[in-house]
Amino acid sequence: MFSIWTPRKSDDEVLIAASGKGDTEAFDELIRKYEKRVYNFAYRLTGNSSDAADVAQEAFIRAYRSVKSFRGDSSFTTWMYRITTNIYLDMRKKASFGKVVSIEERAEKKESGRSAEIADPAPPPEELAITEERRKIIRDAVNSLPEQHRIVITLFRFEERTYEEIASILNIPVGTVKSRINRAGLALAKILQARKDELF
Amino acid sequence: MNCKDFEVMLPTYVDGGLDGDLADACRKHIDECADCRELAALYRMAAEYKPEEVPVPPYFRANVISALAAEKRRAAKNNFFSMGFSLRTVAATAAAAALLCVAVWFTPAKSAIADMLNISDIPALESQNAANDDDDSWRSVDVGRVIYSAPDSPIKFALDTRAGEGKILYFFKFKNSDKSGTTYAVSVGDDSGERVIYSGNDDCGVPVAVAENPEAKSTVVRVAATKNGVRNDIFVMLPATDDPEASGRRLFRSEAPTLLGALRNASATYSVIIIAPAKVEIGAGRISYEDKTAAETVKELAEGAYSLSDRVFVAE
Repeated sequence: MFSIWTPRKSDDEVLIAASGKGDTEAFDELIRKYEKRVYNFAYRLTGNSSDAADVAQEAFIRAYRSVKSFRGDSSFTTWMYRITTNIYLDMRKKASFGKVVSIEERAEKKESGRSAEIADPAPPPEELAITEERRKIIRDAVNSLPEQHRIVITLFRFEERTYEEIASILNIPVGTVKSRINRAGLALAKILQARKDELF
Repeated sequence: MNCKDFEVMLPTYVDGGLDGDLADACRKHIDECADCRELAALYRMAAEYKPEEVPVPPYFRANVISALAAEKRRAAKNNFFSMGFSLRTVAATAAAAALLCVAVWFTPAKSAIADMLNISDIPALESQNAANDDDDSWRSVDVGRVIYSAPDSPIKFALDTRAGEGKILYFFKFKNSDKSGTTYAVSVGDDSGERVIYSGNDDCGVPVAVAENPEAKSTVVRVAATKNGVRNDIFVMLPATDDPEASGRRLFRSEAPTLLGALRNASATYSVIIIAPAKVEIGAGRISYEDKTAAETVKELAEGAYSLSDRVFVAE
């Protein structure tokens, strides 16, 4: 005989508790709910869809393995960000993991010729609108940032996490989060400055 | 203030976190230093940048589920779940279902679809022990690989039931042209022909268990389904051969010789998803109403005679 089963509530706590007891359907519901966010975060970290799928998939697998021990100290979202970040960092160490194209080399080559250039007498603008072309350059620049900087920029500016959430995700003090974000923003601006001929 | 000092202050200055003398000093420096003015403009621009959201690949969730299932299987190799069901319930479900004459798209040759889909490295579905209290002749088998999963799309799920002698299950959803609702179908493709083995109004979900009855030479797939919002699973039997006596119960069989012919007869607005690996580029288009076999249609699709948009192929 069939058993009558009523649809579960889409409440994270209920789903997490059920997942912890081995309920794969409950976990499937969690995947459904968070796959877009986790995948996009992984994509922003890795810069390509193939690695993003690997990272995001592994993040959910790892989450399922340890869902029993999830105590709810942070939100499920923060927890998934933490897992995804750690997996990304682990995978970066593997040689087979896709390399993000660095434009710093290009920038350095350009730098050597700069002293011979005649300075543009017109002052640069105060504001720069983000055109499609500039978006690509910024994207490249973000991808070329050192890991630590790229991660905090991604979490703070793109994923719009708070300082406290980022501190929890990365397991670092809030003060360190703030200074790392500032340094990352500056580093990003400097990378863009090396490509200013394309931007202005 | 020199450039080095300004760089230290820049993030806080741009974010509006400075005031008084420090803010004035930064402003003065920007007025005097073109490089730093430029840097500040670039910082602001980068701070406003937000990357676009990218779509999750359609196979992503299926891959996670399959990987989890594979893990569970590895972890509990000899530990089976028991699943209770009875063949009488299966028959009752079939009798209650509204039957619609639809034919099924598939490729008759298993090797052809295997080649096309490049499914050799897709993880297998978890198998579960189908033994119930009454019948211990059923045993769990390592069956099936998820070929495709897109719950919100017309073909919701495709399972290559390898243990069912190379059968491939497709789970369809059709919108009825008379706007009477949606019909769901489960079909099987193998070397012997095209068969719909279930169709009705129940919303077919995903396979949750597969079992094989070696004596009846049939495979049963339990499909999570809901009816009127209530979970009401469907049990789909896959006959091993065309002989009903040897193969157990077949729920439904299409009379139409080809998918296209039957769909034309059904006068339904339908959507078909072509299951293809990510590498195969297929764009958007229409099905031809010529009488072609499914294999020929698949071949033409693969060669670009038709095209798909987001892997959904709609004909009206």
